Amino acid sequence: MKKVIIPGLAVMALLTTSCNKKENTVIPATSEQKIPYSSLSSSTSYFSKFVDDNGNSTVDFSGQTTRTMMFSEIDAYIKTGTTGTLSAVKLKNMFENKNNPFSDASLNSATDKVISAKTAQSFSATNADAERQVFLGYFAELERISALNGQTAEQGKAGLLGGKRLVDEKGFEYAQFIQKGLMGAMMLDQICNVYLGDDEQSADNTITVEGKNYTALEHHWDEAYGYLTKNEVYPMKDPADATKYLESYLGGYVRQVTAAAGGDPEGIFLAFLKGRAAIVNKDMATRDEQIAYLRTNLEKAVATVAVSYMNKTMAESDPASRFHELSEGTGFVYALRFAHNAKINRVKSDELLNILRGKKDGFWSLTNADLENVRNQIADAFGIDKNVEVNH
Amino acid sequence: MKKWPLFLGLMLVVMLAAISCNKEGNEPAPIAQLDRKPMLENYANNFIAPAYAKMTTDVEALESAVSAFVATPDQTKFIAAQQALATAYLQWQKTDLYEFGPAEGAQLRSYMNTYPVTVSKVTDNISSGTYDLESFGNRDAQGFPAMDYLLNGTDMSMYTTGANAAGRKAYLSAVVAKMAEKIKAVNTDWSTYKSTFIESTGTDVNSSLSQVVNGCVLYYERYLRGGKIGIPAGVMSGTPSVGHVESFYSPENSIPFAVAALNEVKNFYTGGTAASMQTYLAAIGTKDDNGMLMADLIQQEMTEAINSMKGLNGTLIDNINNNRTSVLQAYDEIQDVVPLLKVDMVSAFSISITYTDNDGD
Repeated sequence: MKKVIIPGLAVMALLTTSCNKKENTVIPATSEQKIPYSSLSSSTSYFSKFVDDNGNSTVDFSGQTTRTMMFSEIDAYIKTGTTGTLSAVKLKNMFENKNNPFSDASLNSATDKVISAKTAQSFSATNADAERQVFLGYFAELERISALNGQTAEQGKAGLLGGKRLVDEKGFEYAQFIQKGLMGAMMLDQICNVYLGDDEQSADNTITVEGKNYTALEHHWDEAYGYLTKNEVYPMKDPADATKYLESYLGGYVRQVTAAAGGDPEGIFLAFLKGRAAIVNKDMATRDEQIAYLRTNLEKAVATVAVSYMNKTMAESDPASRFHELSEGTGFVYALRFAHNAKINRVKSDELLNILRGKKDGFWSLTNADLENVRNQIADAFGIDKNVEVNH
Repeated sequence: MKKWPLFLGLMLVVMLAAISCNKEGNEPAPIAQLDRKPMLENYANNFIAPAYAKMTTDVEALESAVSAFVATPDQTKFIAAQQALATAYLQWQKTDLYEFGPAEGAQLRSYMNTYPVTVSKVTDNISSGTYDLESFGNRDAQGFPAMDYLLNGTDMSMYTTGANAAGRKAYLSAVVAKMAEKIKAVNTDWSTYKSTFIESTGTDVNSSLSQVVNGCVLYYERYLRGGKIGIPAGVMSGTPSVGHVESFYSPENSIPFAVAALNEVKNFYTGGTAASMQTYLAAIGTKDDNGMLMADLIQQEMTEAINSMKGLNGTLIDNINNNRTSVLQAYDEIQDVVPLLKVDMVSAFSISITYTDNDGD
């Protein structure tokens, strides 16, 4: 019996093996596209472009907006450390959404929205845990040094620098490590590795999710978008002040990497639009092109900001400003490990962080040559102009 | 040995395949021509039906052990009931992944193994004496976790000299009776469902292949990886909660249960000596980037996952408390299998995952 079955299977195996690698997705002609790509522009509303047969928006990423609001409360609470003592327990509770830590009651009741669970989520459990411990360690440090906010910081002494920056003995401003760190560990990771990753992107795209008007795949794409911005266009200008934008966190920094700095925020928005349209059009080849574009350009934007901060730091002589910018830049150097292509992976990122923070007196001990070293390594890895400065 | 004709035949096929694929716009892989029926027969006859039959026998044995203990409680009968529970709970590990078809309709898992047990509900039920084990609110007050509490987390004297010993005995009997009722119903339903299952050979959402794969991957991802290891170890939250381990009141069983569950998934995947997901995937021929058959890679990764769990010494609670990194590493080994099943295998089979993630989107 077996001799009959096995050759049969083998034949089939050979036939299928040789063919299935070349699965080519046929790109529909414009007339077959439910949403013609040519109809997309930088002013297209992400919310109203993607609608069901009744004209209702199929876009929903309230979970992402909720987490961004939690992030914002953590941030605001940390800033009170310059005038009051912070509680590491409260920070941990906010990070894990436990024991009603938020002042906005709707955030406390969103018990299934937890920042820690979305921190380094794409990493292995072991490595993700290590990254979460990094943040918990910062919380403990913040509690310790916020008790010292009555003294003026200097080399070897924690306290307030320039009257407004809470730093430790080495000049580290943890508020920035946490803020920029989470832009990488949560936002960049969720977008590029989780929602645009294979697992979420292989979700069903044929039937709408029960009780919803979108497919699982459409929803996953929108959730990626929701970690960049909460707005219907990106970047979105403030209607009250045309010189300002309404973007925050990752979306706020990516916006600043304009064409002059080698970036393309509008291109990123168009890629989000086009990828979403491609999902509606069942055109996976076009979807995949947008994923590749988004991954490359988002991480390049983060790297550009990191390089820019190194450059700005070098020009700064006032310790308060210098360490503030350096803390921001250090946070972005950490964030780079969450980029999909990982040109600065965990090991490399730790190596660069060690250059920045590993000396005896930390930032107080750094020379501009150290900063150039870090800057050049990042610029080289991403093909960025090493002298780039971004208007942030 | 007459191997040459076969070899030449295969060579011819290779050449034909190569030629046929030179054309642009080639047809999709002819999956539909692969016969899924032998796989479904193997699964129904050699895995699923025997699992439910054995599960039924074991729960009935537990029921009679409990019945003997309740009639005249003594230490010997108490231990016999504990042992019958351990046997049945272990068999559950070899049954739980088959929650599709009749078991899914009956929501069997939620009645049999919702944990952690809420002890306050159990004691409230015992003291009130009025409870409906069909009510949704009582899912966490029955099944194996409640039995674990009642037999392993409760002193024997509570059934003799304890306050409301009669109520406690009645509840113990009611819980095991409900378990027996549920498992018997599913076991009976499978005997008639079996032919439907075997004949449903397509790849659509309602086909048996889709049911099996969705049921199996969901089980592996959410109830095995997440429930048995991830949640108690705090993989997603960062905060361990050992109160969430399976078999909390007999903690020495948590790791053996997880190993048994992993073994069952692997055995089911490989199918023993007959047609299975593995042979079907091998026939489709998908390979990884290194040219290894995906069918074999999955088996290899499953073996690594099993070994990593076996490698933990002591109870799962001890390990989470004192050796958490090793638990996280074991979790990672278990996780490594998920994308292979959920992305690679599922797409090779031309089916789709129909359940949605529930990790707070």
